[in-house]
Amino acid sequence: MEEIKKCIKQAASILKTEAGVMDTSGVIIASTNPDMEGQQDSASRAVMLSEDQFSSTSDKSYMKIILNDQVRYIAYLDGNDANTRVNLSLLGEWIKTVVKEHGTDAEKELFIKSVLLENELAGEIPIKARDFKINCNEPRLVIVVRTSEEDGANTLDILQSIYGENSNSTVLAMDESTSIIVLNVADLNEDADKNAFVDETSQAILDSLNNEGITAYIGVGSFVPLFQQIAKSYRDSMLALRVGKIFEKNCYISKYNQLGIGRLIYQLPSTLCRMFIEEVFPNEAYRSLDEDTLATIDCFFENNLNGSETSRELFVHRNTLVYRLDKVKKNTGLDLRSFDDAVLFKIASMVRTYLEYLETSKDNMIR
Amino acid sequence: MASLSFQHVYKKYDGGVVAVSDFNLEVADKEFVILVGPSGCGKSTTLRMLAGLEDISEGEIYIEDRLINDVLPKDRDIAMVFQNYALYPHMTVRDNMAFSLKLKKMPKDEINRRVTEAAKILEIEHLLERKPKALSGGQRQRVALGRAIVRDPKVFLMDEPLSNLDAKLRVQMRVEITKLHHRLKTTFVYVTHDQTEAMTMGTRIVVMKDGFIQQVDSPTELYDNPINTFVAGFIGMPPMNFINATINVDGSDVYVTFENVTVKLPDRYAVEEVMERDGQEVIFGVRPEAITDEATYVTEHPETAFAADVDVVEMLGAETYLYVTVNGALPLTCRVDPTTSQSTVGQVVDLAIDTNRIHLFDKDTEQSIIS
Repeated sequence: MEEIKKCIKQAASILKTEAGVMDTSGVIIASTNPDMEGQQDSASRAVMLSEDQFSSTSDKSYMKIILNDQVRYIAYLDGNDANTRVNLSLLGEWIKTVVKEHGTDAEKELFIKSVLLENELAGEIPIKARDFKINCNEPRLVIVVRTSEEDGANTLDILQSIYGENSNSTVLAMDESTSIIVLNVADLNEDADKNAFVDETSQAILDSLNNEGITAYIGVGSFVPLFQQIAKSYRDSMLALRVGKIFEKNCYISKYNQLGIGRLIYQLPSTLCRMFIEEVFPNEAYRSLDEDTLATIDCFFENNLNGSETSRELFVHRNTLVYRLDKVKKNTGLDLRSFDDAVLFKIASMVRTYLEYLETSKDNMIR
Repeated sequence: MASLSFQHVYKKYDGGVVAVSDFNLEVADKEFVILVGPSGCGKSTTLRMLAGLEDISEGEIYIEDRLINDVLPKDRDIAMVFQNYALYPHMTVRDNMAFSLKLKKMPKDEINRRVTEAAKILEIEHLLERKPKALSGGQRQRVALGRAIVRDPKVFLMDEPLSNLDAKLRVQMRVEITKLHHRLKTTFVYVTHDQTEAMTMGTRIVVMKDGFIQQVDSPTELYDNPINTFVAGFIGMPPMNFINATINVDGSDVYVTFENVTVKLPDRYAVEEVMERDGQEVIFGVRPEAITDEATYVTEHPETAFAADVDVVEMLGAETYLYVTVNGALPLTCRVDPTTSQSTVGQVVDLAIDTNRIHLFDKDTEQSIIS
């Protein structure tokens, strides 16, 4: 699409008349008059039905652009004289060459999507990539952005506005609520550069979306050295998104290389998790912990098991805190003032969170 | 233009973590309110709940009289400015400013009118055709403000918008944003961890800690009458000196004693809340500027005078900081007048406290003893 737009832009300076290209449904996708873009051309249906490659109305001439025996686009020029027809032929051939050269954005997107979903044979990827001018030997990073379905279209617009003109990066929609960015990161060398890049990029994406009133969750995959491996980076980004959402509160950006203990727990089979929970909290002892107690425990952990700090932060007397911790000990058998028991409780809580996620999430939707 | 109302707002996460607790605040139309506090105090979460980017666990938020708990962010009539400029690198300044309006399918003429008007307000008309990479940090921040202005929102929300700028630019942009508030006459809610920004920009400041509001007041009131040691220590630079001291009552006179130094308190402290603490420990708060080495003052106020060793002298031009130690044990910071101060490092200097500007806090609750 961008290539066709460039083509029309250049044509405008040569032809000095209105020119444009529409898709087969008649929607103008590129025009020398930007106001026309997105508009429907009323003659398109008649042009498509006509058996001729060239058609004209009282004020416009049309030419079907045929690739692989299929009408892909319709080019048009203002005017219907012989000169216009010659110019239109030249414009049509030019567009055809450009499309052949670069492939269409849609085809390129389809190919990248297919690679991400591992639907391409590994050996064929470099060959096909060459057709789309994709350099396979440069490192890539995949970032997945998930929003609500109604924000999906705007999200794609925003991401394309950020990365659209960067030919090294691709933004595509995986479904109504998931957008993918495949970034070429050939410029980054050091690990420090990479970490800073991930931090800055993901925060910039989140802020841009928040700025437009869109709540988004971002998963950052791993750096892969070749284009052929973007499927792995994509898998990692999805895993990061899921693990981050399960274990981290207030988590809008999850990075594959910073998942902590959540990464381990997420890999555990649910039967093993249930056995562990039964061992740590026999007879579902954790159910006896009310909201206040859970908040107290969390605050106690955040303050590194420091009772004075915790009681000050919770605005409770130290004896109240001691009473609550004693109650936890009585109900669960774990004395959170002891490091070993505190660690066990923390891990068991995370495992329980994971089990709850497994029970409540019917699909892979993160929201 | 709009008033805001937060009524018993909570943000709770799964597992019992409470990021914001019982947040109650009324913001008047056209007010410039600052949420300030250390990292993790819940200020950004509160702002994000107002913006609709974060769900509200409990309570209600109103913009004007409209309950917005379940209103989509884009329908709340607000605009946000972040620390990250969040500009689109491949678009010109004009297109960046127009972007959100284009998403709303606003007519082109109206978009142009709004962009031109905002550019004029921010004095960036000459930058409209440039791309972000050709702009300085300050100019980018102005464009980010411009993107918010073109929306003509009822409320501006700003989340640490100046944190990416260097110190000098930050001061400049502080002034710019304050001017903008006067010019736009709109409600501003501004989040920062920087108490200087809070003190210089806000008409009212909300000091937060651990998800709780500590105090809501004007900058002057916060500085002069902090309600607890957290607010007293957070507001003001260098921070207030906190001294463990003992109250001594002699007839109708009240004294505080620390490190063999006894300071007589003014008569306004001869009240029940203080007198009943005779012999008890309190936290004695003294701002650095309430301690002076000016010879005349020290001579005239022997009842508040004491000696200290000067460890470090910091000359800042308009003021001088003395870092002193009392009886080799109690470190204090003093802000003195460089035109009269003769103190040098290693010297024993006579100091006096202006007791009209001192504070007493309960040792256990850390709350101010008299308001």
